[in-house]
Amino acid sequence: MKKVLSYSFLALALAFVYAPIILLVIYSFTPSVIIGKWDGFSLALYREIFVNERVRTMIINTVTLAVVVAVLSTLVGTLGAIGLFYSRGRLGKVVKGASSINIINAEIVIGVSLALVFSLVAFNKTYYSLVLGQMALCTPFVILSINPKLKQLDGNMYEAALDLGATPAQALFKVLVPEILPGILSGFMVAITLSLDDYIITAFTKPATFDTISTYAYNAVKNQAKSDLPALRAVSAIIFLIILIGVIVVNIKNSKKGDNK
Amino acid sequence: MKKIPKLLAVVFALALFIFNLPVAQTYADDGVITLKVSNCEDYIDETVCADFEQYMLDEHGKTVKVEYSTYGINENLYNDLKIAKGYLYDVICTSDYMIEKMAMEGMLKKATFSQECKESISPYISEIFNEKIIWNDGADKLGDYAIPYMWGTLGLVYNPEVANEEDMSSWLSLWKDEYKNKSTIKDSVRDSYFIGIAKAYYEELMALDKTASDYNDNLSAIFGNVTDDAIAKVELALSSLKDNIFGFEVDSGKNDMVTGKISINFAWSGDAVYAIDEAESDGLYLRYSVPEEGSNVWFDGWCIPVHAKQTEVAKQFIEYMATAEVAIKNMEYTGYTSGIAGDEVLSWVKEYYELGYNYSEETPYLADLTYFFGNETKVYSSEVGRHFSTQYPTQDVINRCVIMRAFSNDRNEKINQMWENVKGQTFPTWAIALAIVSVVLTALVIIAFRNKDRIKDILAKLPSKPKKSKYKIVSIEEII
Repeated sequence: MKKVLSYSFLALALAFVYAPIILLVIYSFTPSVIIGKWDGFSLALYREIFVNERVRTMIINTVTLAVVVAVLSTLVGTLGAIGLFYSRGRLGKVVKGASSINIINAEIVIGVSLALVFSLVAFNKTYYSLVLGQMALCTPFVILSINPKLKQLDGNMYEAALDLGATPAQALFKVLVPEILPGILSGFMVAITLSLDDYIITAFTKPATFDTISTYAYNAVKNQAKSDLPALRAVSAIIFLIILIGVIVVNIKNSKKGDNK
Repeated sequence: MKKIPKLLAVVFALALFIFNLPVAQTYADDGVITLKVSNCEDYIDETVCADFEQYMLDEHGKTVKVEYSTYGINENLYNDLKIAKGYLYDVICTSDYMIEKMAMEGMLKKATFSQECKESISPYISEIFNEKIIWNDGADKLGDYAIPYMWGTLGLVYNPEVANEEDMSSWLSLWKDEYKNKSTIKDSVRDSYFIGIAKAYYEELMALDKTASDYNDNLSAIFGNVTDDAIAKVELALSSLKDNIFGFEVDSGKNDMVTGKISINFAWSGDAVYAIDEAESDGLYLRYSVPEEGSNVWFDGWCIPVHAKQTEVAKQFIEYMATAEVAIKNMEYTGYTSGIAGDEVLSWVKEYYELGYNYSEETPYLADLTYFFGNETKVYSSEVGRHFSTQYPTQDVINRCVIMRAFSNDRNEKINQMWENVKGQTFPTWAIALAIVSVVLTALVIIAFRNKDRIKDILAKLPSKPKKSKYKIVSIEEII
């Protein structure tokens, strides 16, 4: 009885989370404009991803932006985290506190303030404002995911490396960075995810002619008749599939590791 | 401390690098004029931009590159322009009240459009632009700033199997018990204010003499009433409506009509056409009606922001958009109705909707479009309340459609507050009860979880049936 209850609760919770995604995947196999109206099975929407230039550009834009932003914020975030870890004194504390403001701040506030600042210095709505804006969002999360790794680290490692004759650069790249690499990688992944699904900051800072999947989807709902929104269902289905495979592969690997031990 | 100057130098170098590049980009134009255009998403046949580039090269010998971009809603565009305080676009397309608001706030440039362009505009729309929407005691008018693009009415899309035609000729039907939970209205105060007024001032509206020459002006006065008293009455009306409708929607209404989730939807004519078209392939024949009490006529227009760099080319672009050929192309693509009239458009409309010049069995209904096309235009159509009459309402519908002006800032605040009040109470009692129950349950579960051990102890002490345990049974058998 207890088992039945707990399983049914689990099933309910999972259904609640996954039903919209599954609905999207199912309706990616019909060319209908509206979800809820079945126009017969077809792979037309998947074809659209490759044929429709606007959809293709949108996907390329989104992915390129995510990679660029993630690489840059990982760089800045890693150096920042190390710097903050070794900084002392009142200033150090203030900077540490300030670095996490964007994590708790509402995104709309960040978006509006960034737009205001960028328009003051005359490059609002360019690629620079877009990349910098998204970096402002992602970098604190990179710092956040590197911090625990730094705390686990033996604080004297860096000095030890220097004592053994390493230059500061060598000590940083050969000793420190390899130790915190898992943190850097997870920070990178977080940054990619944040950039991929960010709408608010992107909308405020992006160049007018540049559209990511999220900004396009938002604009297109108003005038659905001629939009490429249906094709985005196929895109979502593919993204979902990739992630699903990724998760399964990682899980299998992990369980094999466990078996070996 | 030595490091700080170095660091500063790097920061400055980086800053220079970042600031320089965009500036350099704008200078490197080598004779190409970049025209930045902003419009709603999917609200144009984008090939006309390329056509315009070709036209400018052929007719004016200028190399123009149209940089076409889109925005979400009018307010997004307004915010972008406000934040930028400088050059962002050369041409924008936005709605009636937003053009008026922007023009009043000095965000738009006045422009003198060519006579030819002005003449291509429908006399009906032209009257609105040049005689109806005027401010500063007539010194300023909308026509000085904008050229119309698409236009339409506000009404009810309905499923004739559920709602009958007679009921749908009145906004009051939305309050009827028989349509409970069958309709949605717009989550937009500008649009919903209309039905609020229709309910609150029903008697006054119906008492107006429909044949009087100033009928439309009187109607405007009632629908445009934004005094404190009127706002309070509208709040009452809309609050009582809220319990009878399925819900508020922003853009899901048209889809819900097609899938059959709802049967009545408060909609713009353009969305209505979309819903009618989409539902038809499923064998569902939706209809559109503009209720008798009166309704709203809306339009979008092209205008030039005050910080535009290419004013001259922007003007040429707008005039190009107003040519019959381009207007038809855009109508075919978007499904909306262009504000451009003229013989070419009329013959396209006749062909597209298979209209007749004379009465016949296929085309039994008379539609008087004189108001729109000028010089006595009477056509015969095969339908009433579907595509054609949604896109080109007849004279009597137009008589009862009024423009809704931009609210002044202080009125806007009042009305928004009213709307918040109306929507604020949307939680039905059962939802509140459910929320409380789930909070209590969660709390109980957490408490139980925290005191797991103690609860186990208590349960263990309780007299209970001996548990069936495999291990024990096996062991007993073994003993025997």
